[in-house]
Amino acid sequence: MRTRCALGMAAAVVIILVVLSGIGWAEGPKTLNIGVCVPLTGPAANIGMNHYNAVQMAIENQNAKGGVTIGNQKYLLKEVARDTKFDPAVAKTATEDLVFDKKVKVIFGTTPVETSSMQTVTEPNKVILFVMSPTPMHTGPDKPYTFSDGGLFAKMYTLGGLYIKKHYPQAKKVVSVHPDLPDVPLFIETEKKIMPYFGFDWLGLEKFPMGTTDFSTLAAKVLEKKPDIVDTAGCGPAIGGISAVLVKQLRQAGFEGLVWMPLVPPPGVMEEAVPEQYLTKIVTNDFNVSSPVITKEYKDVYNQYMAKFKTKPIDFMGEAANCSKAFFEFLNTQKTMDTAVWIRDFEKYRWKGIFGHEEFWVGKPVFGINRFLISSLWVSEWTNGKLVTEKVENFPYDLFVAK
Amino acid sequence: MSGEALLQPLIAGLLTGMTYVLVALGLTVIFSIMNVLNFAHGEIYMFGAFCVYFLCTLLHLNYVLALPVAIVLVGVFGIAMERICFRPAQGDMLTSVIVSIALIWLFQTAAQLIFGGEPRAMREFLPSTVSFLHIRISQSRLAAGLISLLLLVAVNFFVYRTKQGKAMQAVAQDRDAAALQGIDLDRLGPLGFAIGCALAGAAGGIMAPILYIDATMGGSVLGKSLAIIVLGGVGSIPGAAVGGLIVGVVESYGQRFLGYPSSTFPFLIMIIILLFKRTGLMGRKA
Amino acid sequence: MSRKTAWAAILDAAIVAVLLCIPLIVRNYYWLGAITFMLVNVLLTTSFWLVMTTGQVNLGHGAFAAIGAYISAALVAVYGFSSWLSLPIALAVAGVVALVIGVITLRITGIYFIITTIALAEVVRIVFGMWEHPFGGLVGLLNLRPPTPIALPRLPEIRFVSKPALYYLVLVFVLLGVGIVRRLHRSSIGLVFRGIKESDSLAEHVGVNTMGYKVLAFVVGSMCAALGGVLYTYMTGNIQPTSFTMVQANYYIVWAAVGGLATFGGPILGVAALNVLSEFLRPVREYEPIIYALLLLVAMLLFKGGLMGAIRRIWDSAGKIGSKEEA
Repeated sequence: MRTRCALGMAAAVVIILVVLSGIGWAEGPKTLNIGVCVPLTGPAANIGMNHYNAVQMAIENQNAKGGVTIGNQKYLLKEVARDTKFDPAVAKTATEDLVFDKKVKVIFGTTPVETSSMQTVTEPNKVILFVMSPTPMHTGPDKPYTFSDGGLFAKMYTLGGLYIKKHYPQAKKVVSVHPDLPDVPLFIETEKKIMPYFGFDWLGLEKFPMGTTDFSTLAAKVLEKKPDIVDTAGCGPAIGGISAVLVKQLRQAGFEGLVWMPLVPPPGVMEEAVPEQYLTKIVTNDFNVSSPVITKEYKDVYNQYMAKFKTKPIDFMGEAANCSKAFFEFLNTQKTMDTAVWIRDFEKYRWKGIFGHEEFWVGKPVFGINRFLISSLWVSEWTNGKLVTEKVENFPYDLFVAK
Repeated sequence: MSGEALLQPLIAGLLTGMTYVLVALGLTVIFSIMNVLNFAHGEIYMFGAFCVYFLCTLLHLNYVLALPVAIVLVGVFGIAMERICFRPAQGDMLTSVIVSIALIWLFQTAAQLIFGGEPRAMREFLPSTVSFLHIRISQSRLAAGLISLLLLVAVNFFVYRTKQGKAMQAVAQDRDAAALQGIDLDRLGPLGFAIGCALAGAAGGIMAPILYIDATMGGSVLGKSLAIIVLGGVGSIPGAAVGGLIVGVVESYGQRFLGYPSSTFPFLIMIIILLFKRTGLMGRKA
Repeated sequence: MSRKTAWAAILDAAIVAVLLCIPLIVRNYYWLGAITFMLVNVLLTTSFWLVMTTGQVNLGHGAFAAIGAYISAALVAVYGFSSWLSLPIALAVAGVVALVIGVITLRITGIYFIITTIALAEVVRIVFGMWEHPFGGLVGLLNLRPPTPIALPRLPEIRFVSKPALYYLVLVFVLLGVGIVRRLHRSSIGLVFRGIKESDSLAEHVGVNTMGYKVLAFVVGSMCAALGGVLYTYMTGNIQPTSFTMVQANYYIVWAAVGGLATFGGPILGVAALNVLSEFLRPVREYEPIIYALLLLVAMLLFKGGLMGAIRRIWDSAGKIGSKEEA
C-alpha cells in the first residue's frame, strides 16, 4: 500500500516535471512588430509596393520556419505597414505612429526623399531603419541605426558601364536626363564620378519638369549635343511607365545610339509602350528571369512573388527580399532585444545572398555611403524587342569595398 | 542656334495646342450654356484617356474604333454629371465651384485606386515619323492635330448652323430671353455637358497613346484650359482656337529655352488678361 | 453685462480651460500631435471663412500658408535668424503680398476672382520651387529645427522640442488668430463684410469703401493663413512646394463647407468633426479624398448650411415643439 502510494506520487511528480519542462518557462510566442514605411501611393508607388511585398514574403517565410527566437523567447513576426505617399511630412508622422504607437524596433523603408524626416524619429529612438537608395547624408557614423538594402546608383551605373565598354567600345559621349526632383544633385554627383571611370565623355544632365507631357522638346535639346549614349538616370522609378514614353520619343526624334537605363521602369511597360522597331540598343539593369545566368534562389523568390501577388516584381524587390530574409535569420543569433547590440552584430554579419555570391555590408568614402549591399550583378540589353541578360564579370569591388 | 532648333518648338507647339483647343472648347461650351466653370474638366480629359486605354488593352478593340466609343462614353458620363451634380446647384456660382472641386477629388482618387498610381503607356497606332523641313514629327501627332481640327470644325458647324446650336448661342447670350423664346433650358444643360465632356474626352483619347496615362494628368490640362479660355475670351469658339494655339506654342518655346519656370506662363497670361482685358482677345460678354 | 454675454464669456473661458488641460489628459504623443494639427487647421479654415464673408472665395488660401512657412523656415534654416524674429517677418511679408495682390485683384469679382486665386496659388508654388537657395528648390527645406528656445532671466530655458510644449505654443497662436477673426466678425466691420457680400453695388451706393473692406478681410485672412503655415513647419519640420497644394492641403474648403458657411462656429465644428473622422478613416486612408468629396457634395447640394445649419434646425424645431405644447 505504502509502496503504491509512493510510486503513484513519484509518477505524478515525474509527469508534472515532464509536462512543465515541455512547456518551458517561456510563454507562447509573442509578436514582434516589423514596420514597413514606404510609398504605397503616389509616384514611387511601384517601388514601395514591391518593397512592401518582398518584406511581407520574407516575414511569412520566416514565420513558417517558426518565427525568430531571441534569447529564450520566440517571436512571430507581424508586419505593420504605413504609406508615406512619397512625402516627407507624411513619412515622419507615419514613422512616429510606428515607433510610438506600434513600438517597432525595425522599419523597412523608403526612398531618399522621405528618409531624412524619418531618421529624425528612428535615430534618437534607436530604431533600425533599412532604406532603399542610400545617399551620403543618410548614412554614416552619426546615423548608426541606418542600413541600406541596395539601390546604390553608383553600383547600377557600374553594371551598365562595364557592359557598354565590353560591347560598344566606340560609344563615348553621354548625356543624362532626369526629372527635376530632389535627387538630381545625387545623380549629378554619381555621374561625375562614374563616367570618367569608364572613359565616357559626360556632357551633362538635362532636367525636365515632373509631369512633362511631351518629351519632343527635351529630345531635340538632347540630340543637339550629338551623344552616342543617352542615360535615363533615375527615370525608371521616378516617372515609371513614362520612361518608356521618353525612350520612344527619343527614338522618334531620330536618336539611333545607345539608350542606357541604369534604373529600371516597372515590368512590362517597355514592351507595352515602345514599338519593336525602337526597342533595340537599350542597356538596362532589368533582367530576363528565364535567362540561364539567373540563380535558382532568385528564381524561387521571383516565382513565390508572382504566385502570391500575381504581378511581376521589379529589381528592387530582390534587394529587399535579400536583405529582409538575412535580417530575420540574423535575429535568431541575438540574445537580447537591445537594438544597439543588434546593429553592432549585424554590421559584421555575412550571408549567402540570393544573387549567387556572399553578401556583407560594404561602404567606402568615395561614394560616401556606409553599409549597403552589392546584390545583383546582372545586366541586360534590349535587342530587336527581346531582353538578353548577362552576368557581369570583373566587378570593380575596389570602388566600393572599404579596405 | 540652328533653324531647326527654332522651328521645332513651333510645330510641336501648334500640334499640341490643337489638343488644348479641344479641351478648352469643351470647358467654354459648358460655361456659356450653364454658367458653370467645371473644374473637374481635367478629370474628364483623363477619363477619356483611360477609356481608350482600357478599350484597347482589355477589350482589344482597335484604336480607330476605341476612340469614338470612348468619346460617346464620356459624353454620356457628362450628361450624368450634369443631372446629379450640377443641376441641383441651380446655377449658384459658389455651389458649382465647390461641387466641381469635390468632383476633382472624387475622380482623381477613384482613378488612382482603380488604375493604380503608376502611369501607363499604350501602343501607338502610328508609331513612325515623317520629316518636314528637317524636323522629325511623329505621325501620331500629325493625326492628333488633324482629328482635333476636324472636331473643331464639327463643333463650329453644330453651334453656328444647327437649330440646337443656335439655341445654345441664345442661351449663352441671354438666359432669360432664351427661355422666353421657348427654348427648353432643361434639355440644353445635358446637351452642353455632353458636348463639352465629349470634347475633353476626345482630347484625352487622342493624346493617350502619344503621351501616357495616369491619375493626375487632368490637373495640368485644367490650368492650361483655364488660361486658354480667359485668353481667348470665355464663351468664344474662335477665341478658344486661337488661345489654344498660342498657349501651345508659348509652352513649347518656354519648355525648350527656359525649363521649369515656364510652367508659370499659362497662369501669368491668365492673371494679366483678367486684370487688363477681362473679355480676352475675342470674348463678347464679361 | 447682459445675461447672454456673461454666459458667452463663461463658455469662452471654459473652452480655453479645457484646451489648456489637454496635454495633461491626453498622454499619448501621437494623439496630442493630431490635436495640435487640428488646432492649426482651425486657424486655416476660420481665416479662409473670414475672406468668404465678404463674398470673395480665395482658393489660393494655401499659398499664403506656404509663403508664411517658406519665409520663416528660410530665415531660420538658411540665414540663422531666431524663430521669434522670423515669425513676425514672415507674417509681415505675407501681409504685404496680400495687400498688393488684394488691391490689384479684388476688383475682379465672382468666378473670375476665383480662377485668379487659383492661378496665383500655382505661380507661388512654381516660384518657390525655382530657387535652390534659399528655398531648397523642388526638395524644399527639410530637417527644420523646432522653434528657438526662449531664455528668460532666472528661469530655466523654455524649449519647444516636446509635444506638449509645441501644443501650447500652437494653442497660443491659434487662439490669437481665431480671436482676431472673431473680433472682426462680431464688430461693425464684420457687419460691413456681410453687407458687401449681400450686395456689392448697394454697399458702394451707400458710400462704403467696399475695396477697402475687402482688402482688409483678405489681408487679415491671409496673414492668419501665413501664421498657420509657420506653425505647420514647427510641427512637421519641413516645407515643400507641394505642401500646400496637394489635395489634403485644400481640405479647409471641405471643413468650412461641411461645418456650415453661415456662422463663425461652423468651420470650427467642421474641422473638429472631420479631423476626428479622419482618424477613424486611417485604415482606409486611400479612400479619404473620396469620402471627403462625397461629404462636400452632400453638404453643398443637400444639407445646405452644413453641420451647424443642421444643428440650428434641430435646436429651432425642438424649441418650436416646446412652444407648441405650451400654446
